[in-house]
Amino acid sequence: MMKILTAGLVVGSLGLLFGLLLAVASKKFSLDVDPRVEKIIALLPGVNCGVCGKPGCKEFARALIKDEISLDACRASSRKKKAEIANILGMKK
Amino acid sequence: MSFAAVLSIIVSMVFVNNFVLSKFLGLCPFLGVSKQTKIAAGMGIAVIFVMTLSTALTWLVYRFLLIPFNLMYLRTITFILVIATFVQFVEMVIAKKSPLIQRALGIYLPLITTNCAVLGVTVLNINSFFVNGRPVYASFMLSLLQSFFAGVGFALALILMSGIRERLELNNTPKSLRGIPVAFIIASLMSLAFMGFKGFVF
Repeated sequence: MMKILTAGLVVGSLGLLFGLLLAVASKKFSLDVDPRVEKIIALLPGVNCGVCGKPGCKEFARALIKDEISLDACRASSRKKKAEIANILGMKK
Repeated sequence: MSFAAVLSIIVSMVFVNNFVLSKFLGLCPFLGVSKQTKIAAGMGIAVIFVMTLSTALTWLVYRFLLIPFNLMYLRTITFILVIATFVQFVEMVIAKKSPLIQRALGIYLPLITTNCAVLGVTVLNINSFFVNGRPVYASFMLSLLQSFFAGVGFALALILMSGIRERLELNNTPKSLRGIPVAFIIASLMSLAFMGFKGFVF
């Protein structure tokens, strides 16, 4: 029983500490970004597979906004999600 | 720390036990980000950076948190936590403080957050440089050295692969093999070639 408690406490507090650190950091180092980028990132699968040729889903979203890449380049995303992303980008169906 | 031991770690990490081509870790970025040499080089440098620093952090966490509490069996999940937090934190700081580094390095960082090669090297360090829960002589420095050169090995494999794939673009590949399929074949051939280094370890 003691063992479980120490394990939970140590890893739990470590996680809490890291969480707080990231929360503070995200406030302190926040940047003004295009709100569409955040929305698109949320809709992308987030697996960072790199099949589209961009290093990570975040960069793919940024490239989409700048119209540098086709939405078709993403293989992991479903058709439904892609339609939603296309909506945000203001593309025609 | 003798010179021979250092050299053996370097050769082992870069060639003999190359993370991508012998241990098959981090295959995802290896195939994903190897289309252009420039991007591959940036990714390689980012991996070296993250591997070295997350090794420093995980070593400290293991030595001063997990061992005293006898929680060595929670190594994997703790390391994932540490690495993910560290990478996210670095990304935020870089994005705010230095747009130049952000453009060169930062875009690769989220890709590395959950990369198995990074987790692999931190776990490998614990396996190599701790005996019965005690750090061996110069354990910390050896861990840093090992992870740095594991990153170099990763970068080497990535850059070699991207060079081949860039030239391959100009070749007349059969239609059914174009793109990813032929990249898989090349990856396996490169892995076979790197098997030639087996038996090099001294």
